[in-house]
Amino acid sequence: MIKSHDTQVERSLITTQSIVRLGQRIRLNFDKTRDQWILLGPEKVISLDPIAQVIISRCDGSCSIATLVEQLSTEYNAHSKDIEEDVLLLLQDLVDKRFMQL
Amino acid sequence: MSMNNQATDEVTMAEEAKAPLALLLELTHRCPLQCPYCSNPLKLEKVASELNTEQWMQVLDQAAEMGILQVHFSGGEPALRKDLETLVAHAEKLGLYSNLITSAVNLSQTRINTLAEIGLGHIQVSIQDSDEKLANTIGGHPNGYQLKLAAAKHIREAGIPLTINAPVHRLNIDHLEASIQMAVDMDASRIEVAHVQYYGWAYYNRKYLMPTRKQLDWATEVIKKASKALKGILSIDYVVPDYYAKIPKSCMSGWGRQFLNITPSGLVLPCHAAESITSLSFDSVVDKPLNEIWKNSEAFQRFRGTAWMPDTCKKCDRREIDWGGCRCQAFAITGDASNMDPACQYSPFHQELLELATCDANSTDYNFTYRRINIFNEH
Repeated sequence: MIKSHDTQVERSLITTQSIVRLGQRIRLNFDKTRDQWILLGPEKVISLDPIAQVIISRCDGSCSIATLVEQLSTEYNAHSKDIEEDVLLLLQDLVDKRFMQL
Repeated sequence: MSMNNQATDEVTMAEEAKAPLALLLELTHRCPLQCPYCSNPLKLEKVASELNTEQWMQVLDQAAEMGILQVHFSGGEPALRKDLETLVAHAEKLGLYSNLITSAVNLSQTRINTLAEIGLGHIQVSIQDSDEKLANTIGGHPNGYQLKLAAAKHIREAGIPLTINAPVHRLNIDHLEASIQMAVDMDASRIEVAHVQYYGWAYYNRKYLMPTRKQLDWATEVIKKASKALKGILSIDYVVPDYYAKIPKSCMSGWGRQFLNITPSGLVLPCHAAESITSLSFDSVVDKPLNEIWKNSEAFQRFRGTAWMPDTCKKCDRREIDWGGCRCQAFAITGDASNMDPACQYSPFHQELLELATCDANSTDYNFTYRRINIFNEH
């Protein structure tokens, strides 16, 4: 059951080709008491708006950010360039906080 | 304007208790280390008064029911409780995010692997210094440093995220850069560099611990540079020493707003140091449900919201940012917990606080008192 020792020695910079998933032992939960989606991690609770929740819930390690942006742009009928910008900004911030990982 | 207006204003200002976010359980006050800045009270609770497994499990049930999201298992040293795994498993079953705050010196690889399997979310390991000799002197444990290094390795091998807690003070602050590097080498994702806060044992040992202004300014620069250089590798949380501050800290993000602390015997506190305010009395989970204590107990209601504040705080734009700062500090320095936090530049005691710091920082005496049970207890 021992997992590999993956020491992080440099900042992970994401691109549209990156496949992003939740960070180690980070949880995406619905908080019934406060009626909102949250990310739970060490000493922090990050409240998510509905869009952020959709983006993060689809980052399950199965598809690239480019694929995700394409899906969202079809579903929400929006320009993929705008969506791409928002998605990259959100995910880079969460990767920097170690709430998400490549 | 009617006569009733003031009463109405008071009602609007007194904040109703919202669900707390986090709960810290001091499972025991026993500890293998003896750090002279320990945040536990001088009068430590003894093993005979500790809540049993069943009682802690009921506390966890109530916490989940109240909407609490995170539970910190702390102490003393929580790993001295043989039921730690049982309690973490129960918290996880209830959907609570569990965090272990430990000295790690008696955390075996077997126990770490069990905790990983149970689903423990995160571990915080304290370090006393990056220099082995000084670390062991501060912690009062001959082999603490090496045991921590070994435990940190096992924690990361088991896939549990790691935070290093690094309290800094006059004796170790000059090694800050090496301590940050040590956290990177231990594969931590986070470090809390916390200037010692002067309550309990740290207040008692203040003159041995208070950094000089020059040390503080240097440390602040180190943190600034390291935060930039280590972005995405190590997040750095920095707690400043408020004796040198102009603006008080947002202590506990406000009294009774987000956080509660339970002592080994079950007393429920708005912060870990609240018992230092001797004018307050505290309810126990042995006698009352946790939610009732949170919502209605005298201790939580006393400084909740803004209605209790002195006029200067009530008129201040920052009243709902720093929530009047720290009540324990107001009590420790001024003798009245409802006074302004002396860390605030507008407090009449502000200058006195700065003078205390300057005077302590110039002391050349190193004869601090180790945290030990029984020193301040009645025999």
